[in-house]
Amino acid sequence: MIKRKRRRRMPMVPIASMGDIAFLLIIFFILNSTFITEANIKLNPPESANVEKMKKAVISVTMDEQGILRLQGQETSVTGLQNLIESQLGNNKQRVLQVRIDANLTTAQYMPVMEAISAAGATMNMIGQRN
Amino acid sequence: MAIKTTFREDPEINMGPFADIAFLLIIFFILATSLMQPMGRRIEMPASSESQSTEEKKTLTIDVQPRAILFGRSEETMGEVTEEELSLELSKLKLVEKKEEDRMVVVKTGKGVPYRQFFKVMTAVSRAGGMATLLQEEEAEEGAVE
Repeated sequence: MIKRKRRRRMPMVPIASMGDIAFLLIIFFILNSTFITEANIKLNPPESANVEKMKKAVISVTMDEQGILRLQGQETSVTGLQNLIESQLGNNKQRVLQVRIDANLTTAQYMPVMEAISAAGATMNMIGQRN
Repeated sequence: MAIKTTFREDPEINMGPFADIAFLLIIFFILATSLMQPMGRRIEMPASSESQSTEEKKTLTIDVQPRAILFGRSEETMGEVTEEELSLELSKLKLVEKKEEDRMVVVKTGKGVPYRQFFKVMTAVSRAGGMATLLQEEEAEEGAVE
């Protein structure tokens, strides 16, 4: 009896569609992540032993080492801050702001910002670092 | 004359490494986005219009000065404390268990106080369960005159 050697067929997995799925997933994650609006802001964060890990809030207020105030990465003045915060918060149930202020700024610079936030009725996440 | 037919090879792109690169990019983005978690403290502040007069009640007051922190219930009992002592004193008061009006802590900020000092006081108050009400030194002086 002649044994016929059957050539073993390697099972073929179509890889082309795998690339499509991978790119769709990348696009999904890119669209769902938010861009860092404060990447280039020079700021020395204050230190405290009482800080903990926080969830990033949607709206950010920053004041860098030169005292420049920014709301969502855009430069603003303190006078219109309360109204801007109220319009940004809109009908959000969670009225939370993320506040990053340079550690060396003095009362005259940061207190108007605090007052504007308090007047807008928002809760703030004061950002710093652990000692 | 014999006509030569050249055998043209179909150019093929090997898709295998392509998918590998794509998956590596996905994993990179997933890991990079989850690493950025800011550290801080949630501060609850009652709106200024809702704050009651602090003259009648002996409310807890923290006077933040550029190089010192003073803590007490009235002007006579204010004493200088460090950040650790302030946290300890506030935690002894068990503010978390009290009603909203008893959780109020007046934070009086003097002129020229660096933000790092203010931040330490605010985070200590928040951690102890207090609700900070801000008062600037000029306002305090006007209040005393009235």
